[in-house]
Amino acid sequence: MSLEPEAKAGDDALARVAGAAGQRAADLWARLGRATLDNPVLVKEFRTRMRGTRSYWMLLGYTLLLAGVLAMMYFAYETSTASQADTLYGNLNTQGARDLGRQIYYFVFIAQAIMVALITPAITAGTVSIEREQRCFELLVTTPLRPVDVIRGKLAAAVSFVVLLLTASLPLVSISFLVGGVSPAEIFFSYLLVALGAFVYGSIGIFWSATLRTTAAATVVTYLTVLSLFILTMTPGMTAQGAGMAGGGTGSMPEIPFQSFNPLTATLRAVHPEYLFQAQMPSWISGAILNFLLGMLIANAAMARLEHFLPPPPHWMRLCATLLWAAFCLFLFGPIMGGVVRGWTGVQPVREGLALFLGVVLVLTALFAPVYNTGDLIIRRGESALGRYLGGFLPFRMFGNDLSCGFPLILAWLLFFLALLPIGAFLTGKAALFNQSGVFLPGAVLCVSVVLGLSGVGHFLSVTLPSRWAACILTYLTGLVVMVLPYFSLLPWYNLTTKPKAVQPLWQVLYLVPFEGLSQLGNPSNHFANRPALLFGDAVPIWLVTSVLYLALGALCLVITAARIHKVGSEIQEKMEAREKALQGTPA
Amino acid sequence: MVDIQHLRKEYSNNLVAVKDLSLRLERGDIFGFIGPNGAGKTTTIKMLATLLRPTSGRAFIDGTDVTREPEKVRGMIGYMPDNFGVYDDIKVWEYLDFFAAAYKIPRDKRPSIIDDVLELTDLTVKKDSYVEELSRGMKQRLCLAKTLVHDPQVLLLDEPASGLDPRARIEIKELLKELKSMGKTIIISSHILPELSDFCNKIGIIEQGELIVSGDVTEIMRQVTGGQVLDVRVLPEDLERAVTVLNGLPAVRAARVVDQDLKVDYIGEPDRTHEVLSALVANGVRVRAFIEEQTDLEDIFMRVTRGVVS
Repeated sequence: MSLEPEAKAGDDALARVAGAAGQRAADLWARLGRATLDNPVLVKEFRTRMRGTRSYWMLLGYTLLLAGVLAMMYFAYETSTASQADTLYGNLNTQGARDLGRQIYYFVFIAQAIMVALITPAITAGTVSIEREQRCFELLVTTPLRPVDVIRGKLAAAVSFVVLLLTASLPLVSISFLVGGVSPAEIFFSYLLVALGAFVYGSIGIFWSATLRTTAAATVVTYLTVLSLFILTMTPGMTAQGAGMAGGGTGSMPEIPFQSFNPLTATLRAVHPEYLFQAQMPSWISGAILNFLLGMLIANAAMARLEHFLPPPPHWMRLCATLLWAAFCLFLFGPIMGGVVRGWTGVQPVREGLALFLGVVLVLTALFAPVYNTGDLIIRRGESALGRYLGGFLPFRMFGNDLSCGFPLILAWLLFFLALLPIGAFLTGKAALFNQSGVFLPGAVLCVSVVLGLSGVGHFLSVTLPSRWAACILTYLTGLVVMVLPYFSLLPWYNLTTKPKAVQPLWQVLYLVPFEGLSQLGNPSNHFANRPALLFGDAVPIWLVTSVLYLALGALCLVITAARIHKVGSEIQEKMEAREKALQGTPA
Repeated sequence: MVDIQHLRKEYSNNLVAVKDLSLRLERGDIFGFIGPNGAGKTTTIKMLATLLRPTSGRAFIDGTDVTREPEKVRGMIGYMPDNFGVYDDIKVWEYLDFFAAAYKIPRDKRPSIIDDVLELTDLTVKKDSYVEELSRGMKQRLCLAKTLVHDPQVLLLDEPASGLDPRARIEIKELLKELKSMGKTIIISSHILPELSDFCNKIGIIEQGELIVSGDVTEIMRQVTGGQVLDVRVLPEDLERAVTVLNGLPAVRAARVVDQDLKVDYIGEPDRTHEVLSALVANGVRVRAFIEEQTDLEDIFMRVTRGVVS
């Protein structure tokens, strides 16, 4: 009897928990609905796309074209093997059928990969710009829809249509199953990567459509971008295919990265292995992850380009970019180190290899440093501009949108990339050689110094020039001039018949080139055999002088930037205060 | 309901589209925004509709700042641009369903709301027609229906009747009167003045980005004309005597002859105009007609924009 009230209280608590859980589930369901089939943009796009005969003609054309490719391939195959078939009937029945099955699979999927790269830009490049051209955009903007709803709806509708086209090819693909030679995994992952390719190309189309005013301009630029990306991403896979075929073995080339980045090469390489340091994984994994993250990044960039809409929080785009960067670094160094580092014997190859890897790390990071280290400083009323600027350097602010937030982000990117080198050496059992080489730490310091120097220049130019993009371009130019142009000073030196032994002022500019420092680290005993004499010679290593120069440049730029922000920030604060007082003092 | 404080919009080419515009509207006010083309009406409405960011100043819709919380404001307003398009391959009900979903109206409530706004805009018979098949007047009404699906308290209508034939214009006007009776706060811009004269209780006249005059219609009329204008017709031979008599009255500021008629600027009490007539008759002037002249928006607009007030 005495337990009754407790039981009742327990029941109440249970009911509350159940109610809260039910409410949460209902909210989640509603959110899921808004993200999918209750997304008005998606529903409208589905309705308008599938209305009329246009889509059906497209579907018919697509399948007819695929059937045509298949028929041509089949007749060519039959003609070339007809004579053998009669004489070698018994053997050819299974081997020949397997070859035929693979040929069908290759032709159908290569044709699909090309067609998807051609069709997706056509159906996405106008999706946003047509709203402006039809003067519907203002009506769309003044609804409470968020940019994510608009882009997600338009992209999902476009990719769904491409998936519909891919589904229509299933009967043709099934012929390869009928005659054998192709595994279900190959088919599945090829479909997956072609669909993910459509996602990336669709994102590119929507990005340009949101960025450019007219559909015509967006279409042209989208095709150019997709074509460039298609060729660029096709290279590693085709290289692996060529090398694999030439080897005469299984065709596997696990040391080549990004074999399935492109949907076309994914058809050939999806189930082939790639190293991930000491382990191996099928190449579709890296291809799928990279395509997914690249598509997400571009789609996020498209959201930020929709005018009038409140841009999505900057941390999403930076998070996507960081994940893509991490995946890119991992899937680049994983296969290379897994394939190359294993073969290292002796300290010298390790030195040279590490110097080369550090050069790659430096170039790739320096390519992104200006983008993330130029921008605007947001000044809020009553908040110190200098405090905000300095606060941006804190690591937890790296996904923020302020000028200084890019610095910890790019530093984190660099450190992650650098960390893969010792991790790779450890996993591949070359940690001892790695330590003996003595290249990593000086090289890492040099990379960090150069990135800091470039970042400082970016900050300084951002507060000096009126436009963010002008600052970004000028930072790139500065990097190019400082890091590459001094190499041209070597041309007259190479032309000299008798090389001067004395230190000449002109060639001291080589201290600015970080690759000289890495080159000396890779080959310390023989570096000056083919170089003019430098001021400190062998006494002070080049990497150290270069690091000090870049650190000094970066520090100087950052100090000037901080001083300028303090001065301008105070002036703006005063103006804002005065304006606020004026507004409060005047009756409406 | 709508509070605009010192709103200013400058474009990058140093063009100042709106200068220091302040305005306050209460719930149920119908504000007619009058001005020639390029005066700054559309810019002001676009700033309220969160489409343009003011260079300075603030604007609030029901206490919500349009620049700081644009997403919240978008749910509170219904905006109809002067130049809008419609989607192809979409039916009338689908078009309204799209906007109803965009305004986050639950799926089960949408059909009845769509039916209601279609009935209000007299488009029920066109529910299953394709939008591109509608006439221009119907498209205007459809756009108005779209602005009403989420039942906003504030409507921003930019030239809602421009380019329409007389019948369609009358239909839109009737519809706006209906909305007025529903208690909506409406800001309506137009450069065609008779469109606004029937139902606006407040007007603002804007020229070259400056709000020259704004406020209650009757109050503005009094301000602009400085009183009433009386149209007096007398026999031609009494004309001179009538002018003398009228100019001698303290309630008459001036009497002038226009085309054999007398125009009298009366500045006395509005309900004592009969005293003017009595004075004329007492002095032997034979009066044929005595009419109080109606001052309309067109008249006010012409006077104000000529600089009579400013």
